[in-house]
Amino acid sequence: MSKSSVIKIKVVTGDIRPIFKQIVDGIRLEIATGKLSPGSKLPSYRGLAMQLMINPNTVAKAYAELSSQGLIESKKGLGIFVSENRQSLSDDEREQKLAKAVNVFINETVHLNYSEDEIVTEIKNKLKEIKTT
Amino acid sequence: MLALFKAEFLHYRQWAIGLLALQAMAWAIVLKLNEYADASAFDNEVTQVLSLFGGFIFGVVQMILNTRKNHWTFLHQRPLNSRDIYLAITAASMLHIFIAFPLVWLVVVASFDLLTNAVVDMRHYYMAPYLMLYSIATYLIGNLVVLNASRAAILTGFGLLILHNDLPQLTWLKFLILAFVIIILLYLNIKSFKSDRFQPLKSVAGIVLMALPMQVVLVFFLTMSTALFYDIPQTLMDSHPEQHPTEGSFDFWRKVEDDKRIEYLLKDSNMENKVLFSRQTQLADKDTIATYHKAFNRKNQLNFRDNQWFLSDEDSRSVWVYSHDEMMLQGSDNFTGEVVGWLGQQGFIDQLNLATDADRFISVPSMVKDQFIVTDKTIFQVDFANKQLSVKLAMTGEEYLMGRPEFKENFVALVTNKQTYLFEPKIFLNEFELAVSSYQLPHPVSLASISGVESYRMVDGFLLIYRGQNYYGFDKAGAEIFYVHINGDVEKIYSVHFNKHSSPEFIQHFDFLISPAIYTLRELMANSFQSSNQNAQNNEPSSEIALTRPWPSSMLITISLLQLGAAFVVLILARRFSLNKGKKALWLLMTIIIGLPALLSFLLLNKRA
Amino acid sequence: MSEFCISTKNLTKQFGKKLALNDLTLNIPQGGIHAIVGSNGAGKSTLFRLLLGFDTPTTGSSTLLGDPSDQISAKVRGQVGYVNEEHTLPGWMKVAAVKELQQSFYPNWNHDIYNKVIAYFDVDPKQKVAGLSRGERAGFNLSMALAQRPSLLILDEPTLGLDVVARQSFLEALMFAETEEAMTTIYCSHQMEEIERIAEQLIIMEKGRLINNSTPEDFCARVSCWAADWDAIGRNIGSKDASIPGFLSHREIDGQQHILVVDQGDDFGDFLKAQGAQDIAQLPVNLERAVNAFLTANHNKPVAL
Repeated sequence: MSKSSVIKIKVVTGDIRPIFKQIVDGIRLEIATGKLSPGSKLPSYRGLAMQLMINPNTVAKAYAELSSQGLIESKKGLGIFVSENRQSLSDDEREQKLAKAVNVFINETVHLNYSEDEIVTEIKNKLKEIKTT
Repeated sequence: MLALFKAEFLHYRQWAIGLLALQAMAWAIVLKLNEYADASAFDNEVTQVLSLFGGFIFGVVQMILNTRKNHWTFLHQRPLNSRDIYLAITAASMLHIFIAFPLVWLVVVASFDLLTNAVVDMRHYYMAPYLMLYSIATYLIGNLVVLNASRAAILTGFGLLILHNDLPQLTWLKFLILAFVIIILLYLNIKSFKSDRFQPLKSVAGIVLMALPMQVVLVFFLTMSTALFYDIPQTLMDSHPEQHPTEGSFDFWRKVEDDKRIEYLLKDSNMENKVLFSRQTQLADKDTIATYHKAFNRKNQLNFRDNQWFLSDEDSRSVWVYSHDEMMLQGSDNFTGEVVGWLGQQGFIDQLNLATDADRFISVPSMVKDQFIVTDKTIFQVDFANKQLSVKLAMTGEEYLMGRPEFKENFVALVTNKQTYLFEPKIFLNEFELAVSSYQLPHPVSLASISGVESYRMVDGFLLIYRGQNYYGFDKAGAEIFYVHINGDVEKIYSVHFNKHSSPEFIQHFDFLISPAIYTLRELMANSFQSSNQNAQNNEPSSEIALTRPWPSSMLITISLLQLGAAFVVLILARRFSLNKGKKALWLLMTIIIGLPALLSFLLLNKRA
Repeated sequence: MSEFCISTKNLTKQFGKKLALNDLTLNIPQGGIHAIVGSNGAGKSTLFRLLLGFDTPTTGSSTLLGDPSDQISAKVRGQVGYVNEEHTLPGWMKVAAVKELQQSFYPNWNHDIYNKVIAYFDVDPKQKVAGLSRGERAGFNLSMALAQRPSLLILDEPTLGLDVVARQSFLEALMFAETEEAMTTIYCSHQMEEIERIAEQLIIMEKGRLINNSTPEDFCARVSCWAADWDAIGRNIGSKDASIPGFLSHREIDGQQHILVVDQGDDFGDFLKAQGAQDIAQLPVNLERAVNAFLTANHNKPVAL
């Protein structure tokens, strides 16, 4: 049996986001930053629940959400793994998601009075940072 | 269930054993100090009160502890029938009661039986379990008071005990009835032990069993209430019949002084020499002859607070105790305790194994004045010096003694179901021959109607006044003067009918007014199961009178109005208590039959919804 | 088998003049952990007493695992575990003896579960129950309740008065001890932190009424917080005509009005503008704030007598 990876996420109570959402976001970040590589085994419901001190069903809910987003998949008898093929989204979906994220970004930053160049530089630096870790 | 029983038993185990140890010590001390103690020693006031109240308090305390909110939850929140839970707990308590009380007593009685020559009958053994059952009954009443939705459950408990006491003295019957009472209490407790114990009982049986005994007690309280609305106000206004009896009433005559009593009775007569007569009686020796006597003991009775159960002979320093099991007297030496012989109805016997059936008494006698053995048919006289037993007096045919002979200065009086006999006291006591009465007088009316006889010793005989509240019938008081002459002649001097009454009849007979049904029930119960020897009397008129009296129509009308009124109130209130049709019908029925007490129990047992 | 483990219909309980439960209709399906939240006097304990048959409703009815509450069978009693804040056990008995006693009633008793759960707490079997600390008693109660393998576990403020360590142990034992799959847990608490961690379903009661029965996030989504400059707010509060729709509560912070409303969309901002408010912004709301807003709200509804 392969060992499950440790997920270094944490959840807090009193946050605006419900706990299962925090888990979803946290795992997504781990996957996006490469800390959770494709094909690595995720902890069981109970395991992650014990780590985070939450209801195992909440973990199940988070995993279900991640699974519907195509980020993780369940292999019968073996466990739950990070999806190999992260690009399970169609081109249209990808375009939509990118457009949406850009919209949000623009909304947040446009009133900050930075120049276009300064903003783009910031984005580039961040992407570089992610790739190297 | 067994685990629950065990747990509950262990909870109070220390208390029970503590009480046991305490009693054992107490008994050891008592018996050391009291050399005359015998097997009946444990039936005394202290023990009785302790076992009754002890049982009750145990029941209350234990159930209060169990009904604390979270303990209650702990008890009920488990996969057991609530009935089983209650029975397991109660069984443990019964075991405790057994350990705390009768165990010691049985040991005490058994030690007397086995280690001494004291007379120990089976009835002495039976008393211990009987008192234990009584304790259990009061324990269950304690439980019920706490468990039931209505605190008035204590009245139900009282009522059951009162009803049980009304019934007869036969041992097996008393046990049976007490067992029955316990079963009723168990049933009521089980029904009250539901997880929501704030609801009144729902079943018909539950309601009836709670209500009826309660109503018996309520009759008692309602009857006492006459003190509140009659006796006290009347006394304060100085118009109470006790203070100022009506002229011409029986109560009035009762208060007349001794030496004017005959004069008063004769005041309306046209007797020639009535003044002379009255003056003679003023100087005469006065006495009374009782017509009501305590019942004779019986073979299968339970109590042993007997009316003199032994004879003692100073000369031979022996005590002769009656044994119910042997139906003979056992004599034992005062100092050594050794058995010196037996005394049966045929005389003295040296050893018990020589006794035949003919020696044994047929019914349980009373011992009188250390020389008489009195049964309801025969009076025996004992001659200790010559070790002889002779028959002093024997009744024949249908006649039997109503009680023991009364020894007065001027006569020895004996009342039978037919006649009154007067004997010369000195001859009766000192001679050993068959007694012959100096005077005798058949009862002028039935014995039950005579409340007593007053006697005046005249030069040539006795003047006897027979009197009674119901002499000529229900509430028809009367008195008659008889002159028994020394030559045997009996002369009726005068009869008086008392037509006036001091207190109004509804006060006099308030208990009937309140509930004729319960009144009748109690009368019937008090006189059921009598043996053929009808000699159990008390101070009440016999139930013949009680049940067949012609009640005045004014009372009957009042009763009807009261009962209908009570039923009407029940009808109105039934809505307020949100009773369904069945329960409403049940309460209406009970109220119409029983009356005001039923209405009160209705109020006590139902809660506003 | 009823689909609902707990079901009430117009359940009302009146104590004198006070209505402890007011026309409560609640259905809780089998499975999962349901949290019940409410301030003191909301009627939670009364609800359990009525459900378990320890008291009778004034009007209305309830069922427990399909049995009507006034006639709960011994079988159903065996399927329900109940742990409350008092953790009352017979104090004079030893821990081992109480465990033996309880065990004797339940044929399905599971030793392993008992041992696993009690291991979270430091309980000496030879000790008398009266000598246990509150936390130890809570753990002991929970261990026995879980070992019974109930279909329904009701916990009424079980961590009240427990210190941090004991509470942690209790929650861990509750969530992670391996028990029957099909167990439903009803968890009653004030502690929002606990609720957030363990609740799958959030039931809110206030003044004897049911306010909410949904997932926590769905509930949270109903409540929104709006900040604005609105000096004339006084006009609208308590006014019938110009009243604020969905109003829960408001506070003034640094001259600004912070208003909590329920079931209002994003267009609430337009409403505020129409009322003359300025600098309107929608702020995020967390679960605790949303719940508190409900519990302390002055609804624009008639108050039950």
